[in-house]
Amino acid sequence: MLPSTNAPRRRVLALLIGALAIASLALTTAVAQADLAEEQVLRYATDGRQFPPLDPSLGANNISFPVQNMVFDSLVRFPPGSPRLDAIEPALAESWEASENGRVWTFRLRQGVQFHRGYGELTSADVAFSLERAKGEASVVAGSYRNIAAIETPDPYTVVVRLAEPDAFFLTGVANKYGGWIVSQAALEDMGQDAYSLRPVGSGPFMVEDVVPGEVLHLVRHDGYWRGQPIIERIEYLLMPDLTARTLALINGEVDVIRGAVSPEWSATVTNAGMNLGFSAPGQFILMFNMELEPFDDVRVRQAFAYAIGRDAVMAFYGDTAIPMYTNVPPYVMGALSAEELPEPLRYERDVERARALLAEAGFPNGLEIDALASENPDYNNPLQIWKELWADAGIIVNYTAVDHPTYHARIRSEPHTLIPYGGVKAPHPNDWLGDWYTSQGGLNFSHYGQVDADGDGTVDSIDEYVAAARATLDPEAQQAAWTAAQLQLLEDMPTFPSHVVKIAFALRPEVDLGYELASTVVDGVEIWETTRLLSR
Amino acid sequence: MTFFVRKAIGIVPMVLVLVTVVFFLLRLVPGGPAIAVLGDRATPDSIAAFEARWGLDRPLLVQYADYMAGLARLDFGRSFIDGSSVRESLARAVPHSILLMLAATAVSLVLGITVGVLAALRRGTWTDGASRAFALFGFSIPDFYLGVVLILLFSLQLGWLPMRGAGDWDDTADLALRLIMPALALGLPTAAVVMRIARASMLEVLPSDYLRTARAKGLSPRVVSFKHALRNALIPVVSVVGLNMGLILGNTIVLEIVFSRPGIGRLLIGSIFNRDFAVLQSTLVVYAVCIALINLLTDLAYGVVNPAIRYE
Repeated sequence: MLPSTNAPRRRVLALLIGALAIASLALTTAVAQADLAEEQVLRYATDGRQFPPLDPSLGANNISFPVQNMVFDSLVRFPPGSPRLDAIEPALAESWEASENGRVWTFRLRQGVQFHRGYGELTSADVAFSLERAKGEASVVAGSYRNIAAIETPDPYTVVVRLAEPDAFFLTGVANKYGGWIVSQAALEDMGQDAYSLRPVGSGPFMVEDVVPGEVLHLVRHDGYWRGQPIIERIEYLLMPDLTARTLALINGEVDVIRGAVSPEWSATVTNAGMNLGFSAPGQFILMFNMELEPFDDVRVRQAFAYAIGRDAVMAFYGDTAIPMYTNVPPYVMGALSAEELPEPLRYERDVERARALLAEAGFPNGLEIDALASENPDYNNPLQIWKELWADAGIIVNYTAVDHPTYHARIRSEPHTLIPYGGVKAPHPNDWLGDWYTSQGGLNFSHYGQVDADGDGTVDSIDEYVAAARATLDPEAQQAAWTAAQLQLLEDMPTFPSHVVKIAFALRPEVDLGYELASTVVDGVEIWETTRLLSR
Repeated sequence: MTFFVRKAIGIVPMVLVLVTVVFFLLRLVPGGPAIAVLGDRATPDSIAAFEARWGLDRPLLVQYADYMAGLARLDFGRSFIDGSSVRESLARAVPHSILLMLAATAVSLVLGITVGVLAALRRGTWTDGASRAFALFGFSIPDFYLGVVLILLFSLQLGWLPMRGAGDWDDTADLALRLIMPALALGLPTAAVVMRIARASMLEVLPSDYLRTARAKGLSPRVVSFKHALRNALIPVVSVVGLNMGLILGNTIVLEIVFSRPGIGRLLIGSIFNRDFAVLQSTLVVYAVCIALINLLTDLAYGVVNPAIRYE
């Protein structure tokens, strides 16, 4: 047999290929590293003048949410940049299951998740502790957790939550917001409430290093984060209440991310300066009619007010920073009816003649005049000023007194008022939007729907049954049927006029690579995760 | 000295009256801290729990007695919003506000006196005209607007100066850099006032007999103007400076927001919006004491500059 002369050549070839592979891998890595800024320090400026308590049971507003999302983990999470309930993904819980009746939820926890600052492994005891606190009396988010009847922890990595009533949407309560964020029981007991609220301990990608009250909160990365070490090393979370100052600081490069404004002009200013925009899960803006007060105890008057204003004028004012809302469930939420799905009369397009006719039928042939309270907050005041002019065309005179926002909220809770403009952000499923504002037990039901006769037929009108039915079933079709019925009934009875959804804009410097697309967000801010990084300028 | 001791002691009852009035007035305003903290999700249960936690459900007089007892121990309470110690917050904020006030006052004095004296010495010339135009500009322009213009010019366009924050006390150079624009924005408007006073005062002093004598003795114009005339011309300027310092201190509120600087102005604004009683009461007290002390120091300085003044 002749000796093979190919063997040495094949070895050399193999070696060459191997060397080339290693070299290209090294080169790719080097290129990727070269893209990164040398200093991975992110500066995030938001409005607000003081940090609220960062304990998820005590602090729940647009200033605390972005930080809480960095510091804490939850059993499940909404995909970064998206509030879609149907895309919820595992987080601390690797898997979960619900009983057929939606009353018992069992979560299997990921093992080895570590709390910050050496407070040990996150176990089922911490989850139970957190959820119990969330439903406690002192909790600002208790309303969303009252349905929890019992929490069992058969072993360190299993949590069983038993609900009093079925809740097909229970997952939103254990996602990354409100009481879904899991606190360290050991840290809280060790530090005490006040210290913990200032410098909380969680298991999220970043941990609070220190805080200068009213000025800045410093976070550093949690090297032991279970999804992987974050690329960003430090975050400075700054309070800069003046929008002009925030915008100039962003353009000047002194900050990297800012909370912006609901303003097409502002959006144009920052995009013209080369910045990128992202939008938060929008808030809803509605006008409630107090049906316990005349003349709003008459459905014809409420409908007249609605027909007199429509939505076009407000949309013209907001431009791209708002979208019209035709039902009491925002259009981006699953289960919401679109305008096309509604019968024409229930779309409440502006119709001054129809408004006048309804007023005349209700006993106001010459129009009417009422007093109302308003907030100085531009998000509340701007639509009201527009509506005031539109109402005047239908013979409706509204004399409103503007007060500062905290005073407004205090007074509408303590005094009866005729018209109550209201805005808010809720979980992305219809039951949360319908619950607080329209059910008979809703804590923010200023129209008193579900407590009075809304349509004049002598019986109390309510959507409680629809909300309960949707919660009690896991069948999407049955849920949709319940939500459809609720939305149509609310539009017929018009306890509130659903006006628009406001998009809160955030601006980011072009070097900020979030690691995901910011189409929307549930945390009312920009989510900073372990994939977020700063590219070189 | 007795006069000043008496005046200093008189600050105490003034502060007590102020604290009492503010304490009760705040609690009469609707929209307490619970709503500000809890926001749109505030429900009756969570409001009640908040008020119980902070003792706001107790009788007003009990709350007042508790607060005054704390004040006697120099315990200013805790913020409703973030639970931080008000004393510690003030300890951080006050030095920054005082520093900004002093820097702005220095700008006001140096610029105002220099331009005013030059205008008087070159009366009727283009220098005088330019100085008066400067005064008009200074009177007219709001300091917060000037602040934004300075940011646009020196930060965005030229990139020379940082536009936010106060820097670290350990880094003097950074501290100074971050002080330039806010001090200019605050100092320029009041410099206009100083300039007008200095000019008028100088014009009044220059024809005096003693200065004619000094010139006749052969002293140079520079010595006559700056050694003999200026000293007397500055007497009215001293009283204006005291007023200006109080004005500047009050105006730091807005500039601290524009330049995102820590300070008592920023604390004050935040506490108003958030109904953070403890912080609000304490910052108002600090302001009142500062203004009172400024007035006292102005009286002292006036007596030093003008030996003819004797306080009884």
